[in-house]
Amino acid sequence: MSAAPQVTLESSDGEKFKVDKEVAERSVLIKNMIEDVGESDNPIPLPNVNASVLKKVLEYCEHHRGDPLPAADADPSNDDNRKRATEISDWDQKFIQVDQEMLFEIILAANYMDIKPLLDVGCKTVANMIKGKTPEEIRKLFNIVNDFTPEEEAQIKKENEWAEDR
Amino acid sequence: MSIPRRGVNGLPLPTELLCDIFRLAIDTATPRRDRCRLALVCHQWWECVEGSALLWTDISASDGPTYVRRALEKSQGAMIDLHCPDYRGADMNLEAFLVEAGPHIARWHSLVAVVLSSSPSSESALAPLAAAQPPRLESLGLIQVDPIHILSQNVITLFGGAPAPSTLQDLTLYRFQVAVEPLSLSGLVSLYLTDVVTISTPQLFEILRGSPLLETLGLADNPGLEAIGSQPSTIQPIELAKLDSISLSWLDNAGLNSILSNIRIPNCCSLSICCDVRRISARSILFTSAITHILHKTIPTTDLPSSTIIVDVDEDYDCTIQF
Repeated sequence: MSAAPQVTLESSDGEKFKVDKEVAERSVLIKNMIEDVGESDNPIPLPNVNASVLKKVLEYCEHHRGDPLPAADADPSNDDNRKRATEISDWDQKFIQVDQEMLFEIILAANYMDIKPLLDVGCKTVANMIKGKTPEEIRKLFNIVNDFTPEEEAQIKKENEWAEDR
Repeated sequence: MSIPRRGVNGLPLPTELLCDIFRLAIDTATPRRDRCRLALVCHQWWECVEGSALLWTDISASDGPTYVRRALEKSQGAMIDLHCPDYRGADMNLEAFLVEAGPHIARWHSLVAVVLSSSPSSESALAPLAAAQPPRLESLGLIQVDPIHILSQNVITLFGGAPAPSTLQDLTLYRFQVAVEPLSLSGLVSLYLTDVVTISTPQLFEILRGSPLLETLGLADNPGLEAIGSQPSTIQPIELAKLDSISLSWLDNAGLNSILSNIRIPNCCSLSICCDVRRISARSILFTSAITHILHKTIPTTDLPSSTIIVDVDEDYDCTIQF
């Protein structure tokens, strides 16, 4: 039996990762690059993803290598997607339990590499962190500075007819 | 409002990803409150909330006219979900709500309207919907709260007498009298009709025949669903392979028998029938050999859940057939 075809990916900091082509092609970006360039021994450069993040992304792709790929024309405004906001599988939840910096790096890498299911996991995780929190609690959680003046804050509340009980 | 932004602050994500996250974080039950909370975090988040049409698509009459107008304006370019709940203290009734939303009818994705007996007549309140067809409407729910109001309600012709949009998948009519025939309904995924006098059995069969992807069906107290004639066996059975759940309550027993006789539901997991079978004559009308195919299922396997038929007669006597 012949071995599964492999490709080499190169991170922004020069580290090379040899992975099964099937795993790498969870990324639509890589799949398209392979289709455009054809089979090659040259490493595929990923200048926007460093080694530690790429390692993590490949861990995800390896675990989900056999999953059906999402439809390319899936409607992002589909209501079903919103209803599933809190639905993250157990494995994905454990996988995404990382510090905030890594969480945002994974989201950015998934977006760049066009790995929709991983992007969904990342976005849902951040959304779940935000849900039900006050503006002050959110600022504290993400270390965001309140850059509004009291007048601007009052204006936003007025424009949105701010009411806690609504 | 124009608020100048000062320096880099917020999350290290581009606006489109922040918008995706906000859409997930905004609860459809409290979109207004959640949007405002997000907008108050920092400039970056405020800009994202203000500039993302997809964050303003859940529009409820209970938020009042000023906010409804603002949401309609902010959601420009996106499909909108309209909700007019039974909110007795609201300063915006269904009529006023639909007057505001009417010019945006091309963007209607869903409409749920609850009508109170004290509100203006259903006909006048639903004028925009009666006059024109929302071309991309996927879900429609019209609900009349007051049961007494059924008696005085006129039958409403929707969409100016034109067929329902081909995009319509979910239809709920609750005590709301709509002329069903002109709608030429087909392609439905869910259908719930309660206390609707304007639906007949042949019309129901036409709808079911044209909706092979139907997943849920709920019929209750529909007096027009009567037996369809003396030779139901001459009708081609209606195949509903996707139908998962059926609830049939307080229909005419002969009509109920007609429905069950003429549908084929090989993958149905839940069939709930609520009817009067206390008298032998009523039982004999319903339980004929023509409906035994409902019981003839393949042997449940590990990848198929067992199915249940519940015939609920009254509080003291439940007849459950599990297979």
